Amino acid sequence: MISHQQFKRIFKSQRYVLPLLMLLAFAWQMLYVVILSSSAMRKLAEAYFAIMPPAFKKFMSIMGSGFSGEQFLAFGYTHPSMLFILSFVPVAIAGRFITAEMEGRSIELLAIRLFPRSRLVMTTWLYTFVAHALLFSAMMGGTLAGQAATALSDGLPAALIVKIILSGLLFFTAINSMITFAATLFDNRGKAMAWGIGFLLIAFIFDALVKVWEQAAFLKNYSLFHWYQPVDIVNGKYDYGVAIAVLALLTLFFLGAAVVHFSRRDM
Amino acid sequence: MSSVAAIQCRRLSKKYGSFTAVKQINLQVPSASIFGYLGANGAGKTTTIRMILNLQKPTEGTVSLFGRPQEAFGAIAPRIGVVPGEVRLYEDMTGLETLDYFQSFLEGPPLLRARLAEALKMSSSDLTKKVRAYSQGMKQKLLLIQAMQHDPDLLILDEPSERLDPLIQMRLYELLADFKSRGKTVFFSSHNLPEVERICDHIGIIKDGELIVQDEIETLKKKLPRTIRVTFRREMPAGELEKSGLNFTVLSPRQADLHIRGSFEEVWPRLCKMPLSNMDMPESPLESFFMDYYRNGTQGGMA
Repeated sequence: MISHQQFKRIFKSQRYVLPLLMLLAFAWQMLYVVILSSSAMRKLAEAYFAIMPPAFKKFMSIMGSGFSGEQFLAFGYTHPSMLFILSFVPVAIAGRFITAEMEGRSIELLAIRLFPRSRLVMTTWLYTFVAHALLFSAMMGGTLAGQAATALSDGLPAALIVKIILSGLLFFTAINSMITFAATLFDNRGKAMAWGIGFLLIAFIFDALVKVWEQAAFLKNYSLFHWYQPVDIVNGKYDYGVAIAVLALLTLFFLGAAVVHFSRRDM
Repeated sequence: MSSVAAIQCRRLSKKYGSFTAVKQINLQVPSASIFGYLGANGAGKTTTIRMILNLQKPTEGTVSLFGRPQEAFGAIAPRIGVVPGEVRLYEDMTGLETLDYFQSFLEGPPLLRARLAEALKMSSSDLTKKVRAYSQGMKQKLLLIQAMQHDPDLLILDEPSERLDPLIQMRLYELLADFKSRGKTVFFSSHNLPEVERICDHIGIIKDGELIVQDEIETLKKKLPRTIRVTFRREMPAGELEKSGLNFTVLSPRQADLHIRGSFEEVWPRLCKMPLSNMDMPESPLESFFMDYYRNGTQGGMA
């Protein structure tokens, strides 16, 4: 199902980008711990939380009136800059290693060597899965290293971090499948990437709306980003059963669609 | 040498919406031959090749390679080498990495790589450069080595001599002739008739998606009317030309085009009796046949 040659090629081409992103993710999560550990910065964060409009708090899934170190650290895992990095990986990888192969016609060389053709899709998908796993590991490493270095008293317990990164990995695996499917639909890399980014942006904005706008709250189960809520995991409000079922279903459906469509389509 | 056709297409058609790119093609490429697939741009050459390579599904018809149906393409593919029409190579790889990459999908070593690199003048320092630094000609040479390095039984080349300089083109023709002499088959698309005439032993001509001719080149040439431009030592009255019983078109008092059908031996004794100064063939019979097709869509009086 996987082409080790193709996997090696993708890994080699990303040998500088992926470690750089991992370093960024590590540093980002560590920064959150450092902010909490510094009394001056913590006071600033607490003051900011105190005056934060309720809508913002809802958007961030912050519960209660007080400031919680666990919630603050968990929010780091779902900050838009981290979401951007984690979302951009599948968009860029599927765009380059699936759609661009068709755009540049190099698929004509690959398709007579890779059998079945779906191995190209599976390999690209697997690379992104591995990249996500490494990025989440780096984020976890950042939190743990920060907590160990600063001896933070109200940090995130390791068990909670594992839950957060496993739910994140499942969520971004579903995203990976969707973006991989989108990449098989197009012959133009720019178009495939634009559709991928556009879809994720709309999904993100939709999630913000259903969180902030009370009348639309009943739609929250239909929001894709609703299924990645690290702060809810900390608050004990995350519905693991439904989340796992929904994300597993999305992953299987879109990955299956990508494999079937790519195997049958004209190159 | 196998008697099974290397490529056999039966009633092969491809439609894109209401546009028919390839219409009911029956193509047979004999093993151990060089088959020139000729047609103008947009005639349907590349679409045919893509269907043969299982890259596009035919709307109708079947393709078999070495007698095996397209469902078995995975098993046959290692015996095939391909140079696609307009392919963008991976610019972040060196030439050598590109060759290794495509070879890595196959079992066994790249038997012919060194010989091909030498014949096509790709030095080892060229191969260690990134593909992004290559000229168009070098990229084409790299594609050719990639296609032939594993010594395939069937080579499918889409306009392979494009972007090659004349010296390298000659080298390519020698390599293809060598492939054929070793019982391999070459399927070669081109819009360059002199090239096809020079290296191919079989020809197929496609126009507007239809295969209008398919034959051995020598057989086709014999069937075609030929024109020889004859210059006389003196002025020839029209009556004298008529008396010869040959089919002349007078161009000037001392020059005429002689149209020949069938064997040249029948014409030659009568021609020798005339005061000849020079004989010239302005267009090869194949060329005039091809051009007639493309200008008028007629068979140009093929016998």
